[in-house]
Amino acid sequence: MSIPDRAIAPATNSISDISVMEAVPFADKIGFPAFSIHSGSQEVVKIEFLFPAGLFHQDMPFVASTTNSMLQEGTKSSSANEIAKAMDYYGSYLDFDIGKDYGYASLYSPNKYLENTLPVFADLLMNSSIPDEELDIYLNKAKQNFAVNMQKVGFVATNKFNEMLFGNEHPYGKNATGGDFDNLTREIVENHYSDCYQIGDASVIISGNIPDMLEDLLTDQFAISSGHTTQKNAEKSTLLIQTQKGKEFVSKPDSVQSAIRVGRILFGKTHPDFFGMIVLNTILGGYFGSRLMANIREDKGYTYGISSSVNSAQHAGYLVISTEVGSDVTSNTLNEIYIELRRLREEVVPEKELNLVKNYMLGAFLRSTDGPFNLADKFKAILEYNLDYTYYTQFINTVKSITSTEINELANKYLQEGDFQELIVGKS
Amino acid sequence: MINFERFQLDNGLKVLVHEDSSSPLAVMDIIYNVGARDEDFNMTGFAHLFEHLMFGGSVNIPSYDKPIEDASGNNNAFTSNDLTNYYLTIPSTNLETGFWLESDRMLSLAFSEKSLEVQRNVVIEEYRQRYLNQPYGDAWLHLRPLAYKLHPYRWPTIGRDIAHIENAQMKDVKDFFKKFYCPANATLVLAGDVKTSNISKLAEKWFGDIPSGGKHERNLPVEPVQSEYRELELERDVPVNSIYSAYHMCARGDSKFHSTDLLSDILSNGKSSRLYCSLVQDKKMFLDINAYVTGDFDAGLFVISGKIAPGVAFEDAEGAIERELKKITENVVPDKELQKVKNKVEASLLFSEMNVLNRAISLAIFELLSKADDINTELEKYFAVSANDVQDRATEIFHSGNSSILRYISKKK
Repeated sequence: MSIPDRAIAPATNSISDISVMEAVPFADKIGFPAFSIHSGSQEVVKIEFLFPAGLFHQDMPFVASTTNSMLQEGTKSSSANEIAKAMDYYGSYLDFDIGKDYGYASLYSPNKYLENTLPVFADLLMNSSIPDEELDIYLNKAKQNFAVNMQKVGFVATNKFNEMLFGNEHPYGKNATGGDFDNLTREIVENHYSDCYQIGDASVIISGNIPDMLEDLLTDQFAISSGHTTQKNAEKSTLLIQTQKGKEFVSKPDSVQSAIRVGRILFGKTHPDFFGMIVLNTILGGYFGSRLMANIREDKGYTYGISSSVNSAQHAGYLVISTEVGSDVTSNTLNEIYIELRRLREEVVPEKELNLVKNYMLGAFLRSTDGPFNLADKFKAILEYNLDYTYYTQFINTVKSITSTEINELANKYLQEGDFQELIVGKS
Repeated sequence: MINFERFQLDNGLKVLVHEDSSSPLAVMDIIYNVGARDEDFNMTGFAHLFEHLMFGGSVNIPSYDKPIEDASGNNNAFTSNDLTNYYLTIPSTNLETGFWLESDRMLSLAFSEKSLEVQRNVVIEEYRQRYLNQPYGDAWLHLRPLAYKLHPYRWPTIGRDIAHIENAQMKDVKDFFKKFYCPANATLVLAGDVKTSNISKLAEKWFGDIPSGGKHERNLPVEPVQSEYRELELERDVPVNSIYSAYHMCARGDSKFHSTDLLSDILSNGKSSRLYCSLVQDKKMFLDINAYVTGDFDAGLFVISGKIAPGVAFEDAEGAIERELKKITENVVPDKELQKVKNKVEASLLFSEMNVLNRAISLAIFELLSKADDINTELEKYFAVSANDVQDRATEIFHSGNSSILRYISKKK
């Protein structure tokens, strides 16, 4: 046996080809867009519906999340308990979520029980009855959960920072209080349901080891009249984002850590600098070895974690740096954050570091396409913005081809301290 | 069914290989037979601190993370009371980078003072972020020593006193490494786009020359049988009262584990479960409620925890839980209800096994617990549970002399 030379790293290859398995149209007889990704060996599927029912579409706080959660709480023909019993008995589960623009409802089901579970799922999407008793239970629980969350500096910071980015008049930025739950009535929730959860406005993505029978089954359940296309929110798209420039502090006197947010409004996925900013953000705070982690965690030990992210919604995009740090090192951390922004503006990123980031990003992309549910998420991320798969081709091309000089230009364009807002939630 | 092959190096390192070439990724998982239960009472939190130090450079390689990232991979690790597990996912063409890194840090760490100093701070911030600065975050710091008087499960992986982390010395780090981090005390699992023939060569090349080390023989105190009802009250600035009720139960590898697990599912897995239907939906005494088993390698805990609805007294809330427990102790669970929780176990196995990394970690954990092959008989064991088994477990577990109750009281400052 030869003893290996441990001082020398084994040769590695950069990822050259990444082919993303694409979603294809499915069940063309139903009255709204349906897509499928047939992949995987386990006999299970995920069926995810997207409705135009996210935060953007609500007129007051908590309406969107309440309506979304109430979908599983009863229909004209089934009680909440009957729905729960059916799902549990057939080893299936439901998942509900809202984002800035969409409301989501997913069914995860073993294939062998789809005939039992899909009709229940279809019923709750189309015939939600929002029973008073279940609504009361939900609101009590949601109100208390909100109160618990308001004790977490990170939760307070995320909400407050959205307000700073978008303004309190914009639905992305509206900062809610626990009292807002008291204004919700069944009627308001019901109206939101009928405005935003019309099945004709939905899209559906089916992923997994899809059995042949599913196409007919889905067509049976959702063979409906034509689409509905809500007009209600047309005027909202002109709503102005009103960024509150500057710095804010929210006091949490008993806190042993402060939550920090530093960020700025950016742009959406179709902006020509978007992909470049994803690369720049990765260098700054988008992976374990990032500048912020290397400095603030791995060199200074101020935090368990720090990250930055570039986020996009239909009507805006933004960049935000987030961390929770010891109260005593709050201002030191802020200094270091600004030092890292300045370094990116003033110094060109070394080739070796940029190459590492490129390799890391291609690997992360490859992992994010592994398995049917990941592939479905990849498709969802373009479907929501009316993009096609060339979006990913362009992303990969940018990652491979972007230069240190271009990164530096982006940093000077978009990482100017004066364009950033800053928030601290914690002990003064 | 997870197929795998196994072999062992002369130095005692066990290697399992699970081939699945459906994607171009490979997973490498190393499990070390050491957890917080192996710590000294006066030096707790050390297994977890050590996990952090494993990323601070090894004897021949200054950085662990950079070469992985440069090879398009990613990695992480976790520590529990029973074990420490390290894993990485990487394009299979770059898998040898994983062998290079993992074997070097098994050979020896760099033992850098700087790394120790920084990671002490990072772990202290982790402690603050997860245990102190979260509502209800310290509940388990108090529940463990209430339920355990002797067994090292009485402290959490973060440690029972953060001063232990603050005072950790390099000598302790070196001793810990020597005692636990060696081929005889580890299992290596490769999964995904890998071939056993190639893995055996790589394993021999990179791990073959590492000295075996001694296999650590564990000799932990057995927790004495609890004979008295225990209670503890904590007052905190939280919005609602909460309750944590812990009962002693069997170990993960015990033949009674599966029936105990199903008992917890009947009580609280899903919105059709008993505690949810009765106490949240029907009586509205709780905002939420959960029953679960810790699944520890040594005798563990059966825990019922819930947030009590405003206006409901602890006494009434506890009485309501007791009535549900009495019901399941006195009456056999109907067949359909038992079938329901079995179906749920079957489905959750299906969903979790979609992911190669999950499969690799499961193989490693089962190999440590008993033998990896047992993962493929788990479902049979759940299916074999009878309604009488479930009732027997309820009778054995749910009595006041076996319970420790933590009342987490909301007190506005």
